[in-house]
Amino acid sequence: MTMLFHALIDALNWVWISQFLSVLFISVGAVFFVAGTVGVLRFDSALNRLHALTKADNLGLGFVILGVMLQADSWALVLKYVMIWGLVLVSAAVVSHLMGQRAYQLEQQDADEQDARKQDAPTSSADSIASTEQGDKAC
Amino acid sequence: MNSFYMMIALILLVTMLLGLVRVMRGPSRVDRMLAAQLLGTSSVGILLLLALAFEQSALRDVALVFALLAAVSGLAFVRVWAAGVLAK
Amino acid sequence: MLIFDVLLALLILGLAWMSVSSRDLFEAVVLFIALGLMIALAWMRLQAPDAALAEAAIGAGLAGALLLATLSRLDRQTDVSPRRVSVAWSLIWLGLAVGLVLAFAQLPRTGEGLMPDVMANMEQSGVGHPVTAVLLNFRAWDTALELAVLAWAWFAQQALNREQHPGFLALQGHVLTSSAKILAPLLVLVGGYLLWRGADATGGAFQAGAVLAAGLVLYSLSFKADLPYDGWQGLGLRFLWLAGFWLFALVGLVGFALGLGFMGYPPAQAGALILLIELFATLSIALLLAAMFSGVSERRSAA
Repeated sequence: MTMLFHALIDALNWVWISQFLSVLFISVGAVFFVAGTVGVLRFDSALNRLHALTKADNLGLGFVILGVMLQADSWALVLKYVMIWGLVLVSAAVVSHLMGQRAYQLEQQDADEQDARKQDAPTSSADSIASTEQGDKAC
Repeated sequence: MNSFYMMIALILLVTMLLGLVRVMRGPSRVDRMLAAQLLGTSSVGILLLLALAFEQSALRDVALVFALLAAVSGLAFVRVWAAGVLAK
Repeated sequence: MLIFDVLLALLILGLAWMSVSSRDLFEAVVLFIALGLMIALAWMRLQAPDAALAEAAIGAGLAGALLLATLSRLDRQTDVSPRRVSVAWSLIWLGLAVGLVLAFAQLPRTGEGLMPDVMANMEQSGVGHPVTAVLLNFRAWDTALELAVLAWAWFAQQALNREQHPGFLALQGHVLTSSAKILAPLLVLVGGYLLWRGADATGGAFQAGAVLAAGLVLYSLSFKADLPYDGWQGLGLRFLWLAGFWLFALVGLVGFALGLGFMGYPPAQAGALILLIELFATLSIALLLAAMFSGVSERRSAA
C-alpha cells in the first residue's frame, strides 16, 4: 500500500499541478471581479453597490494573488504578495466603511428633503438649491 | 501559461472599462468615487498578472504602491471635500 | 496583447477627453484619478516601471487628494454657461495635432537612442540602475531643476491662498485613526524601501517622496493635525523644503571646484553622494507635497 502511494506521488507532476491550481484560482478570481463589476453596474443604491464592490473585488484579488503565489520562486515573494493583499484589504475596508457613512448620510438627507417637499407642495429649483446649501453647512 | 495571464489581464481591463460607466453615470458622488476605487483594485490584479507574464519583478513594487496609495484619494474625498457632497 | 494595448490607449484618450470636457469639476477630478491609473498601466506596457511607479504614487494617490482639497475651497463647481464651438480655434488645434503626428512620423528610428552611451559609462556613475544613473548623475542638472520647480509650485500656491486649510468633516468611530496608526508606519517603510532600492532597481527619490508625502497626508487627514510649522521644528521643516535643491547645488559647486565640471561627482564617492542627495531630495519632495495638501499654519502665541 505504501509502495503504491509512493509510486503515485512520484508519478504526479508537481509543476503541472501547481499550474493547474494557478489557472483554477486565477479564473475564479476573474469570475469574482466580473461579478463585482456587474453588481456595481446593476445594484440600485449606493450602499448595495459598495457591498458588491468591496466584497467581490477583494475576494477576486485574493484568488488572483493565490494563483500567482503558486508560481512564486521565493518565500520573500510570497510574503510580498501577502502584504499586497493585506494592504488592499485594509485600505478597502477603511475607505468603504467611511464612504458608507457618507452614503448613509446622503440617503438620510434625500429622505428628509423628500419629506419636506411633500409638506410644502410648490417646489422650485431655487428651493432645492437652498436646501442643499443648508446641507453643506450642516455637514 | 503566459497567454492565459494576458487573457485574464484583458478581462480585468474590460471590468475596469465597465466600472467607468459607473464613474460617468453616478448618480451620487459617492458612487463615482467608489467606482474609481474599484479601478485601483483591478489595476493591482493586472499588474501582478503581467509581472508574472513578462517576468518583470519591478511591476510588483508598482502594485504595492497602488495598494498603499489607492486609499489616500478616497480618504481625502470622505474627509476633506465638504461642499457639495450632499448637493446631488 | 494587442487588444489589451489598443483598449488601454482608447481608454486613456477617452478619459482624457471626458475629464477635460466635463462640466462638473468633481466628475472631472474623479475621471482624472482614473486617468492616472490607466497611464500607470500604459507606462508598465511601455516597459518603463520607474515611470509607472511615479505615476502610481503621484497620479493615482496624491494628485486625487490634492485636487479634492483644492475643490473643497472653490465656490463654483459646475459650469452652467452655454458651450460654444469656435471654428477658427478648432481648425488651429486640428492643424497642430496633424503637425504633431507628422513630426512623430518623421522621427529617426535608430532604435538604440542613448542607451549604449549610458551603459558604457555605468561604472563611473556609482549606482547600478541606468535610470537612476541618468537622473542623478548624467543629467543631474535636470533633476535639481525639477526640485526647484516643485518649490516654485509651492510658493505660487502660497501666493494664491495663504492660511487656507481644507475643512475636515466629522466621522463616526475610530476606524480612520486606528488604521492610520498601522498604515502610516508602513508608508514610511515602503518609502525607505523605494529610496534604497533606487540605487540598483526601480525606485528613487521621487517615488519615495510621493509615498512619504502620502503618509503625511494620511496623518493630517486622520488626526486633523498639521506638522509643527512654528519654532525650531518649523525652521527645520522650512530648511528641509529646499534642502534637496541646495545640497544638489552644493555638490555641483564642489565638483566644479575639483575640476570635474558643474554637477560632476568624483567617481569614487559618486554612490554615497547620490544616496545623500536622494535622501534629502526625498524629504524635500515629501514635505513640500504635504504642505501643499494641508496648508501651513503658524500658531502665533502673541498677536
